[in-house]
Amino acid sequence: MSSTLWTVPAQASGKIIRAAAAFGGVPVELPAAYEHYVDNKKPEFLTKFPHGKVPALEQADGFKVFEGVAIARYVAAQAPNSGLLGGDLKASALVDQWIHLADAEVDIYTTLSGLLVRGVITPYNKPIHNAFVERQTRALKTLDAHLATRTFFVGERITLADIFVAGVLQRAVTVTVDAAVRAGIPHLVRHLETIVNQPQLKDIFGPVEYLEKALQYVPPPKEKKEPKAPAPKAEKKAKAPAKKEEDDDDEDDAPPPPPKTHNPLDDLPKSTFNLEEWKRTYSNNETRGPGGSLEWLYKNLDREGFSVWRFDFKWNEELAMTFMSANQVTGFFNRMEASRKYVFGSAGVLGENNNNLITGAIILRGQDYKPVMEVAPDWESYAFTKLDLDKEEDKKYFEGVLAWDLELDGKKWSDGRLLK
Amino acid sequence: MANTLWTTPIQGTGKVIRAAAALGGVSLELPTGYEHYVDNKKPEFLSKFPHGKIPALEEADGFKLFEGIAIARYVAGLNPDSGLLGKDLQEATLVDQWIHLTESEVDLYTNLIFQLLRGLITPYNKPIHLAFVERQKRGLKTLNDHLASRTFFVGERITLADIYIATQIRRAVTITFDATLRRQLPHLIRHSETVVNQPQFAGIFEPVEYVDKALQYVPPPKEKETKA
Repeated sequence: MSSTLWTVPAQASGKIIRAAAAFGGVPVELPAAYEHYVDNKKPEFLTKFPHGKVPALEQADGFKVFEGVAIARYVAAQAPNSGLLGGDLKASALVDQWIHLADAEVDIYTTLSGLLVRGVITPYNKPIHNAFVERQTRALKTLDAHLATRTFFVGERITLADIFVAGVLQRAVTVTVDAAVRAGIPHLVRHLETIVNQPQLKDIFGPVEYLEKALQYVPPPKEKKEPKAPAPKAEKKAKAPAKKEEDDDDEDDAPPPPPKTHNPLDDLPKSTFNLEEWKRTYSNNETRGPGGSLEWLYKNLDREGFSVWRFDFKWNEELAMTFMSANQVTGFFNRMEASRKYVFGSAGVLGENNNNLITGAIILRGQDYKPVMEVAPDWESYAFTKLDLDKEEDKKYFEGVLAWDLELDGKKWSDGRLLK
Repeated sequence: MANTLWTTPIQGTGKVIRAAAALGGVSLELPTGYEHYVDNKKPEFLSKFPHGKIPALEEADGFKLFEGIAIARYVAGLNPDSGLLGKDLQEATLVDQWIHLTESEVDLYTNLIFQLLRGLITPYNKPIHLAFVERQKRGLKTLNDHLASRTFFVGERITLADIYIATQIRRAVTITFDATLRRQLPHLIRHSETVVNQPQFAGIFEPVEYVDKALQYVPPPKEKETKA
């Protein structure tokens, strides 16, 4: 029976359902043009799913269900031979147990921490944020300890518990579970890689994007740079970073995005260069060397439809701790959300505490940086210079930024951030 | 087979499991003399249940399970004729759906608000408290609307969803779900009273005191003295 699943491609709970469906061979169709925050507010959606929440499933026979975990279990039960719910009532109860622990003590705190650092729940409060992270870490430790002597959570095969925990952790490593936390949960990270790389699941989960440092609250840039801010910077008052839809969970946690306006960048002549393909190529390959992403880029880049830029923070002498500089870049890139489909960027913090700089490179649609970059309220804090990749000097700089090994003014690469 | 359930008499998820067991005719024994925060920190408990969390179930054959909802569903599944998980897979899925909505959008906030008020999450922060209250209201409203034309959440009989939601509402009315809100969401209250007063559940649900006004944060007395 054909089923329609409302979700967005990056939604973690949607990925879990899609993975269960793929693993069990249960056909699930995604609606062609579902637009989150728009379509789920419409009366025809709300009649079916009164809470207005995705993921939501509708079957050809009219059966409707929402809540990600409930849908995942339902889909898994339609393929009893898949073993996704375990072999008997007891195994199935253990699958439930691990799912529930991951849901109630890991995923909830990813959501709540995300809401705090992104300014959706205000005001930001550091001790409360820390309390959430501590609770999450406790549960991660329990999950990790269970895997110390096991490949999978229940029995000897993949179950829904494995898919669920992997989906939850894949989201958590983009918000709270950074390199320091991951160092304490090696079995869980190994398990995540095992699950997301299953041949049937690879395309659904995509590569795991690990955060080096957990997302931190970034105060609006205006306040941060007030001491030396020249006039132009004060013109636009910065808003708290908008929540990225890609990180979205079940809930309509984010305020609705601003109404869409026509973007003149869409009127440019069609380009042969596929920016999304480039982003994937960059993520999945080494940067330098034969078969590396740079090689792909030089072969495919359409230099008329796209341009390459260097940007430098204008007030590097104000920077203090390197992690704060990295947070600033994170915030800047987050605020680029509205231009994301026109731009790719890599930026680095070079140097050491109290002696560092921010520099980066971007590939963007068109020949002018302003229409793409000005969506970020703090764009004027950066100086932009066009790069000519035929010039050895520009090329060397560009490759260093993408490979995260650039050295500049005697300062070594300390930390990097990506906009993709 | 004797099953031992570690819980405390007042624990909400423990009541859900005990009520499901009562309705399904599944025998559960509560250990005598279990002391919470003491016994669940002991090595012999942790070797069975490494997360140190109750409710926790141990069967005579050695099968062990924790996480309240997983236990409740397991106990309900031991007696399929009870109808606690609905009459088929689709009803079982809807039981899951309503339980999960309640858990993630009602109980979560009852707990967080309670922890803020009691200083278990510090410092107290009014705007965050209010944000939690608003989120909980949205969940409560969806539940209440569903009951406007129904006696039970799924089908025509009591399921685990009813037991779970009734139990959690009964907790919320002592903390956040105050008289004003109760007037706006009467079906949930009616439903909760209907469920907990089923004769089979005698002895599980103690009487509760409905708060007139939602509990508010009271600063520690020391600060008050400073002002005075």
